Amino acid sequence: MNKEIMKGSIDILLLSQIARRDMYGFEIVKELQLKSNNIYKMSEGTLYPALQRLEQKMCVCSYWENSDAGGRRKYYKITDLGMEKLIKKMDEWKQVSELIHSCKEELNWIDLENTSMQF
Amino acid sequence: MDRFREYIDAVLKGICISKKRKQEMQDELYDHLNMLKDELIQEGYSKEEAESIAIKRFGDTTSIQKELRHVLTPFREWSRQWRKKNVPKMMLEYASIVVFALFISLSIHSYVFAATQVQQSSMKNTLQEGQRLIENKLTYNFSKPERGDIVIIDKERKAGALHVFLENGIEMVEAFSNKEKVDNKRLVKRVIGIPGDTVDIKNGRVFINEALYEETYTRGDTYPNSMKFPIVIPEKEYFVMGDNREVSLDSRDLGLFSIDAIEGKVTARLWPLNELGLVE
Repeated sequence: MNKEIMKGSIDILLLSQIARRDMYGFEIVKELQLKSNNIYKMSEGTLYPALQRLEQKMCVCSYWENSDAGGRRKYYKITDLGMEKLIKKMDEWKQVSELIHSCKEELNWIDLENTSMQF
Repeated sequence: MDRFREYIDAVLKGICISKKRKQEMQDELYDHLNMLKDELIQEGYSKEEAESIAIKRFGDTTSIQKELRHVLTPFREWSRQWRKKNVPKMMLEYASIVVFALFISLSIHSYVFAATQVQQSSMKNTLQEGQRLIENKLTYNFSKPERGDIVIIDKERKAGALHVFLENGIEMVEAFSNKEKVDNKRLVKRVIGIPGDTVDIKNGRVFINEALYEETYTRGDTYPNSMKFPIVIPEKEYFVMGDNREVSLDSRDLGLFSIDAIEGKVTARLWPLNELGLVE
């Protein structure tokens, strides 16, 4: 997926996953990969700095649990502030996506017109 | 030592956070790498292969380290980057650009052309007070002033490239510090007599080499004022008059001007815009 396009949406993707249930980093990557039909693999070099940032901004908090492998595992949980941010960002994205969608429809219409002219 | 531990240490190296937080980061990344490894082993890779691929997926240490630094210690990162820049060198670079630009503009102003403003009425009707002119300072390096040229004379001007440059520099500084200052050492006049000419003034008219000199641009009659006519113009000297003959203070009272005192030729009018164009 286009990196430039993804850049602005990392926070929204992470928050939306953590909002569903408490998750750990590996799980978030897996979920996103699944949702994108294996197209999008968020790199760990992007994920962990982003999670740290969200934690600093108090959008998420974290706690530790024992992992099945024997070590400990860090889980992330969304905060009220994080939820607010998520809803706001979702709204913003909806506007952008609607705009792009209507622009695309316009293009399709032009396409149709051009093809019909050829006949 | 474990390859994952080695990798994590390399990533977290040089990031200044508390021991506790560092331990947390280590554990979190270690857990993640192990899960990746397990998954890859299940897919059929060997343990070594799985470890290599997992590390590769995390990316090279420097880029993830840079990202983490920005997030974990932003202030430290800014100051680090600021310190990397050589501030005195940067200042010197900017200063040299400014000095260079000043040098170029001053050079052009001194030797090539300049904009000046008419402050006297002695050139009526050709030029009016307040009009702005373009003065070509280059032309008289290649050719001599001719009869009919409108020239700018600087009574105190001395020849020599360096002298001209310094004078211009001083004037520019003065112009910046005192905007109201009126330039009264420069005159704008028309060349009437060139070296070798015999100039005479009779009956309010000008004669050059004993022939009536036809002038269409004058205002009023021409009188000799304090000069004795006829006069033969010697080498390198010029006889100049303003077009407003009854008012103008020019060679008739101030004497001939040497070529060195002639700063440039007025070639175009810049202001007012409706009179924009070449000056004849």
